[in-house]
Amino acid sequence: MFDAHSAIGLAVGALMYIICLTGSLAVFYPEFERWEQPNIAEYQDFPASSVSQAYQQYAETVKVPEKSVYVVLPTKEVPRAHLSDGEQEWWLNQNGTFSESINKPWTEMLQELHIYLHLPKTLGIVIVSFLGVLLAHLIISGVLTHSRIFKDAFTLNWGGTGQKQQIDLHNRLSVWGLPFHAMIAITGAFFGLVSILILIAAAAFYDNDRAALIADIYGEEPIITHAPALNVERSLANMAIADKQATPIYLVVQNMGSEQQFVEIAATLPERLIYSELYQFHADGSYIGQQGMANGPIGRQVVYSVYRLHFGHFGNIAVKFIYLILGLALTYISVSGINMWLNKRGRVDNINYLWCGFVYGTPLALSAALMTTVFINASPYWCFWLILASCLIAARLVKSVAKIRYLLLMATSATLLVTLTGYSFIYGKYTLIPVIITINLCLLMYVILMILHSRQLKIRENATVS
Amino acid sequence: MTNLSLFPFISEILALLLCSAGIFLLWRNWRQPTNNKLIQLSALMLLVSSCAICIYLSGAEFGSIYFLCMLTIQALLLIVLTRKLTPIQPIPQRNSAPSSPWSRKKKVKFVYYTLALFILCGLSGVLLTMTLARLFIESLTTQLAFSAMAFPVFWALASIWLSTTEKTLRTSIILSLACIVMSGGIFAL
Repeated sequence: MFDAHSAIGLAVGALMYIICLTGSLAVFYPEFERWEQPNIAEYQDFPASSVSQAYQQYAETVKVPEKSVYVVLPTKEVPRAHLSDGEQEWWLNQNGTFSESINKPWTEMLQELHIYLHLPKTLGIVIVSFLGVLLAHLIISGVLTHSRIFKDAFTLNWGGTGQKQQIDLHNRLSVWGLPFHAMIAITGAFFGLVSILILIAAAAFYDNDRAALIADIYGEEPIITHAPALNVERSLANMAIADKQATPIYLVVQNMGSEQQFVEIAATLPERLIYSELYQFHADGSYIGQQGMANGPIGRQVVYSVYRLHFGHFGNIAVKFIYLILGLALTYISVSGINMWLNKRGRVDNINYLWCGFVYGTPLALSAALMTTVFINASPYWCFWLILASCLIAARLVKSVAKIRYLLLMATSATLLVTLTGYSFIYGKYTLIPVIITINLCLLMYVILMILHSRQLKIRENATVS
Repeated sequence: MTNLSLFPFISEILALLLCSAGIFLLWRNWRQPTNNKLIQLSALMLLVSSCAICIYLSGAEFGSIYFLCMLTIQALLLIVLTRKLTPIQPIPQRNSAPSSPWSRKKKVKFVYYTLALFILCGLSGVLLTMTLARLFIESLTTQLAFSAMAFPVFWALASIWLSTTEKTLRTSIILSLACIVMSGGIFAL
């Protein structure tokens, strides 16, 4: 059992590390979006007349009919509205007129690295979801392997050679974080691999009609043949009557400009984990009904609750920080698992150097990609992979784990400090917005922690040399 | 009489304190050389009460999540605070001989195992969850939702079985036969 746990852990440790690290950071993607464009007007109140104005301007500017066009309303998390047709996106001013196009290259790069590993989308999501299955494998085999799971429930040896500390941390974080890790594994596997289930279930129960199966699970859309003229203001007014407890989060005009157009308003409900309930309206605003995400079959409610649960987008900011901590715990577990195997091997060679370069090079590559988007607006994708490849080459050339670690930690700290300084000069007064201050302080804290960590490593290194 | 509702967050603080007390009791019991059933039971009662307050405050869905998050974070905090400190020591230097390169048989086994893990275990996991759902759940939507949520666990269990068995070929055949039987059941019934 232990061999199976180690073999799978070794095979996927590196990918798991990237996915866990980027996933932990991606919890804050709405905040990063705001950080990347701090100059956009922010507000909480977005009247129905502004929504109407936004659709009107879209119809005048983009003359492509029959698209689903979304207006995402401002929330506490992102106090700015935006309009999207799936290809183009614009921030909206409070009166509903178009502001700048949405430009969030680093956040997009981070999300795509987490979801697709920057591979072609279908292949990427299947691989990442398969890692969810393997994470479930690692969790179950880890629990079965760990015979002293209760005896060692609170044991943590700190210091010494660092090896026992690593093993204890690996085990304690794994055991106490088990519910969270299991949830991440199952929901993560669901996103990409559910297509296999759909394929089999459609063939078995729906005569290969996948659309019918999806409609059965998620609810059906109304069939409209002769749609009247669009009146989103009336839809929003009727929405307030239809469900007083619901808080609208976005509004979508399906098949806009066609005879089949209709309006859907997605809204969150108090004490419900489902992503949203969908309220449907005719184009003129008359109420059709709700899709039944909140009160439909139990299966539909469960499947629609997966999203918020995986992304940590519920409750307040404290939930996001808890997701960050537990996500970083899983990141540490991935790294320490391989470190334990390397220690057990009892020799230091290229694998150790490359692994060290990879682990400490990934945060550097992410920081460098952030720096390029702030200063020169270059592609963060290329920057990330080039820097990561350079770190691996450098690690191979330096041939000293301690030196590689120190160099990469210092380089990451320096990159982040330069980025923060440059950002403050470029955006001036916008850096005083509370969310920007929080992100900048967190980055600064990370720099301080990295410097302290490098000092601790240096002490251990000196002890080893002397 | 003092009106407790005047204190902001009193219920949240109570849930937090009950959870802390529960974990603390578990830790105290863990430190004793012998297990005390009474302490364990008290700890469990405190944790259940904390969970009940969380559910009362935020509903069953959010309440149970908040409770689990609180439990994990507090337990980890206690572990870090009560860690056993040892002075930093040098890392022992060992120089084991490099391992021999993989034989052809080992390479073939690795490729076979990777493919089986992805295809055979995947198929077994999906079909097994669907079969179980067909047997025990009436509504088709709920069957599919159960399968969507449970298949990674069954996939993982199948891969654990395949990776721990001494008889890889025999297990693969059993899994393949089970797949045929289960798909027959799903498509025919």
